[in-house]
Amino acid sequence: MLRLLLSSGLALLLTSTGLLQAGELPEPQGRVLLKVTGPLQVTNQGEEAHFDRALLESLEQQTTQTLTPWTEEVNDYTGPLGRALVETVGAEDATWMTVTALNGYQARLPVADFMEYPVILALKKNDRYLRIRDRGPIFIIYPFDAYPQLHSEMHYNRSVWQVKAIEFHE
Amino acid sequence: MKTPASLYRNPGFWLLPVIAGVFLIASLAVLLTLHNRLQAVSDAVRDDALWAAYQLDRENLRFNSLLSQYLYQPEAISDQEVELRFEILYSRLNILRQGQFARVFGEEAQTRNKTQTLIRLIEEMDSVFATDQAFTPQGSEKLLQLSEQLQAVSARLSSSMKGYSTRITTEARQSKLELYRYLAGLVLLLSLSMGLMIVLLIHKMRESWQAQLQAQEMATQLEITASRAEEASRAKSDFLATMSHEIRTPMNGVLGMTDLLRETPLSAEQQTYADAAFKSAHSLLTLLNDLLDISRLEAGRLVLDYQKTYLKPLIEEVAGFFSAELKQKQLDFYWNLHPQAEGCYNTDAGRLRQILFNLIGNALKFTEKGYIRLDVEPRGGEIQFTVSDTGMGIAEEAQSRLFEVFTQADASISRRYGGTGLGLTICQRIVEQLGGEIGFHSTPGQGSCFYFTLPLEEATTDQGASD
Repeated sequence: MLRLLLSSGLALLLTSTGLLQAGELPEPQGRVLLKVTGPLQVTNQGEEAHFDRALLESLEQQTTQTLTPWTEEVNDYTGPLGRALVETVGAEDATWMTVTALNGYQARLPVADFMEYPVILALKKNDRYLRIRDRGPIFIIYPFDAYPQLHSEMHYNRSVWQVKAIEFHE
Repeated sequence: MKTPASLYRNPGFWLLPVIAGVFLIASLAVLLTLHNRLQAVSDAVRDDALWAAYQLDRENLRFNSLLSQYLYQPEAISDQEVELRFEILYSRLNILRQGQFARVFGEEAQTRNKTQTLIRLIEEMDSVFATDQAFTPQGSEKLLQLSEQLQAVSARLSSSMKGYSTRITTEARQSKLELYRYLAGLVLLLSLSMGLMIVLLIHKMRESWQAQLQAQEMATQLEITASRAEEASRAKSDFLATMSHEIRTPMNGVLGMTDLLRETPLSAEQQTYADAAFKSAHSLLTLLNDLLDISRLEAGRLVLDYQKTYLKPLIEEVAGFFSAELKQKQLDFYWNLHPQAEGCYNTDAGRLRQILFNLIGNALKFTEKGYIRLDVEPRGGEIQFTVSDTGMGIAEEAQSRLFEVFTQADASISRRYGGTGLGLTICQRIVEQLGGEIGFHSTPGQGSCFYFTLPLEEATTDQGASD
């Protein structure tokens, strides 16, 4: 009980500073937006790692300014770095991840994409949280404009929106 | 063979490169067009648009079935689930409204109209949710109706998109194929003209190589001919040198005997004949001596006899030799030996004397009045001898051939003044052999000036003078 109190106190402290230490993952307090499964080093819900919005925002954030094939203009997308997520759950050894969307759409992404490029799990567009109708709550955004080689059908296909789960595997 | 300059002016020379250049530019233009085609709306985007249309259809079906279930037994399904389904369906709407796919849908009137109907229907459904009527029975019924209308339109959008997409794809492929065909033709023509150019180039190279070979052969032939001519000339000189010597011996006999004959008591008539015979023999011997010298020089057999020589007594001797003749022609003779040239030198005194005899003799021969002058002075480490006169000079057209063998300035001169025309040639050869240079300048009617330099080497004078 004391331990739980301590750890939740610590989580509160870390959340307030905005950064989560590696190897520590508190339980989600709000509605779960993302379920991470697979061989994970760090979990907070049995074998799985569940993230609410606050937890996702306690990871290292980044804003990516880019044009996408689904919009007419350049937008600012903000959210945790994919790499930060992989490091937080300790899934660096995995090679692939299967990303599942709310409608059941699934795409297979190499974990290397998250490690090599500053790919983000965008929560906001132009400082407004993405609603489901805006392709939220989580939209995987590649830095298309900073890395022109990413402008390909393959990477468009990997830019999954309405993400609800990620499964790491070999 | 054509010179390169005339080759460049030949229009035929430029024709082939110009044709090749035109083909090249045309190929590049076709390539650029192909590249631009790739940049335009790609088949992949059109495929994705088709996929989006299909997805919309599918999301609507899901929403429809969930809504039907909800109407049938509202307690089994939560409101949130229904709303989530609708939100997912609504998110598809944005794809129809903006981005690359929206452009694709707008490309054709048929798909554009359907898309607008879809947008209108979904917006209508959204307004039901916005006014909180969605979960009332009437509201749900309305949603279901709208969803069914949507289904009819979205199914047709998918199929007309498919038809449109395949038509566009086929057309694009055909035009691309045509462009590729043009490109292949151009590349073929380009290769042909390049090939022709290479063939021509090889031909030209072979031609020039053969010309070079011929020139080489000619040069070799010329060298052989030249060495043969040289050999023949040397043989002739050898012959002449030997023969002159053989002729001189009996000639000396004739001269001596004639001289002795003149000393004996003779009648006046006999005396005249004997004098004429002696003069003729003497002239002949002079000629022979000149011939002997020139042939020796030509055969390279002239041996120089270096000895210690003082210039002053040598000049005095030469001057003394000509004194009688000078007096007879009433000419003055001046000579001037620079104090710095009064030393003792190592040289062939006999040959030096011969040169001076020749040059002063010539001056005397061609000067009727005035004077003859000899200057000896040091010049740049060498000694320069200058013989100048106030005679008739040398005609300009004759000046260039003056040192050639058997040349006199004018054919009439040999008749008037006699001489072999060998003197200057001999002088030149001897001066050259002594390591010096000979030259002259002359103004016709005013006189001539012959000069030569010798790199005279000062001798050590411990043994006193010889000569």
